[in-house]
Amino acid sequence: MAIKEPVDERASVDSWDRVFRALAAEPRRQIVMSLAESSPERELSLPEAANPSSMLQDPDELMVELLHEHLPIPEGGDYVESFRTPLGVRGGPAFDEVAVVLESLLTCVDDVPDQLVVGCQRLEAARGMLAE
Amino acid sequence: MNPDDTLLHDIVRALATVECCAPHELQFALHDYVDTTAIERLAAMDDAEWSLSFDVPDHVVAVHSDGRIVVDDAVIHGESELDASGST
Repeated sequence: MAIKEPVDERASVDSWDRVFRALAAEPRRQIVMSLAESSPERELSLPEAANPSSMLQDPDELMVELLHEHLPIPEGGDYVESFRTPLGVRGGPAFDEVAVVLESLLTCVDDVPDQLVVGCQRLEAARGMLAE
Repeated sequence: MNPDDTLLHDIVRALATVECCAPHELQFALHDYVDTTAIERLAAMDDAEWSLSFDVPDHVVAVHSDGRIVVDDAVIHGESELDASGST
């Protein structure tokens, strides 16, 4: 009989904290969703993959924020890997841990409170498609 | 741009000025040397006086609630900007 490994509950809590920290900024959520929608193995260009068409940010400003603030956070959790010259990003070994959180929201979009859906392009689209 | 990110941009620009390069050409990521979320939160504090100093490769940076950004003892950004070269 297989011996059950003791569960490290603290490690699980830390993992969830890292996941939500990685998703705690719009450009980082955009990167995760862009990769999930194309393919995590595919390298996407930055800043485009972090810049939703609905709230286009100055590319130079976003580039600075990505390099100095946003990219090191999901990279530290192995959720994404980035490349320089030109700047790009693709899914890392733990990409699924962050992707599953945002993808779950899309699958239960009718249960998401309106105030979190309105203004969020992907959730609005998902709800519109589900309503058809 | 998130208004609270303005300070982050100012810090990066100040370091780029000292390094004589474009902001995106700096050879390090600020986040590897200081918690950038903490900078955002400090910037969002109204009516609070604070100072934050941290080391990055080859430089010491001090940021103040009045907007001054000091790199290696020279005020690079702020109302009383001095010569960025630090010459006296």
